[in-house]
Amino acid sequence: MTCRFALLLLDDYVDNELAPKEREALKKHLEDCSSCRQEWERTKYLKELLKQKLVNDPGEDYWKEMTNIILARTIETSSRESVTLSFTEKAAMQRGAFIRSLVSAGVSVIILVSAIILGTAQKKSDPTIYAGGNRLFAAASLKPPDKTVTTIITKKEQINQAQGMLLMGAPTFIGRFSTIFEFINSGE
Amino acid sequence: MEKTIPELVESFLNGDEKAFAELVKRYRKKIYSIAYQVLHNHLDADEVVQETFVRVYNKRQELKDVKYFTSFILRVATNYAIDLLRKRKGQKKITSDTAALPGYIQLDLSQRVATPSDNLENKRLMEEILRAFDELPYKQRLTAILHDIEGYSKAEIAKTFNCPEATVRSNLHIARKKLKKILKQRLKQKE
Repeated sequence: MTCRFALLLLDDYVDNELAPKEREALKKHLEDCSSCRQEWERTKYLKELLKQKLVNDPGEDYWKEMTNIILARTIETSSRESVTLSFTEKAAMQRGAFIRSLVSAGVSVIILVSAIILGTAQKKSDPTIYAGGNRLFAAASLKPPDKTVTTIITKKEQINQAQGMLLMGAPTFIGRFSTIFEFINSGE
Repeated sequence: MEKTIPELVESFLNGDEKAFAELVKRYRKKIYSIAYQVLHNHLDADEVVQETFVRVYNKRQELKDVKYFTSFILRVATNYAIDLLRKRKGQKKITSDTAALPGYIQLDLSQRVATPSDNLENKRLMEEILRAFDELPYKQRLTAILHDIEGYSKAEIAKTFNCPEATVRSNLHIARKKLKKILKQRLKQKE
């Protein structure tokens, strides 16, 4: 074995990681070569020196305090905030909230549109209301309604419309506002 | 019966927070020791330990195999220690602290080498070795600390740094060569 090769194996020899065959060969070389033997002794000495305790233990009080801080920053924080969410969990939560808001916006639009359609549908089906022109829309009208026209709508129809208004809420109420006026006037 | 590390990691990954607390207890001194030897002061070592466990807790989903928990935690700790070392290097010269710490965490360089005879000589030698450590590139320094001081295997270190074992051997060889050079000079002076 050459000195160069022996020096290459020296670290593994000191770490006790050489194969038995190489180990025997190196051992024999070290017996014969004083220079390599010196290098081996230095490596061994360094390893022993580094094995010495380099850091003093800060003490049990310190470890207790440090552990409490770590647990406060991890477990306790996460239970306070319910969960520490991963990126995918956060994304799923945000997606859920977005879908919910879309659904509620969609439902609101559907309610509004159906209210307007239902509210105005009766107007179309009842030509007598249109026959009165702007006079039917009492809220906006400057002229008093034509009583001869309003009498065409029967009392029952007017009650039905009023019930419909109550059921359909505000948009319908606005759409059929004139019928209230007619209903009141019809009593006169 | 006391749970093994893989058992604790398994429980921790399944949401058992007591298992995490136990892992903190088992690894805190090891992480502190490595961090202290890299950064040479208590406050920075303390920061490394805290941040390491907070990061391990938050990144637990990244741990694919419970067998590699040691490498996983060592990687988190050494990466943080290197980051801190780079930051501190820009701020001031790193010196070992032996003062200005509460009584129970007083660290005395003279006590680091516990050989009964020739304590002063060993103290000087260790100071030189620690200085030599500081001159080594980060990976070589950490390899020497993890292997020769902390006793981790080359395979564990390779897994920690995500490199082949041959690189670990090479880094260790270079680090030892440099440290031996100092030893050689010291021993010559002594003769």
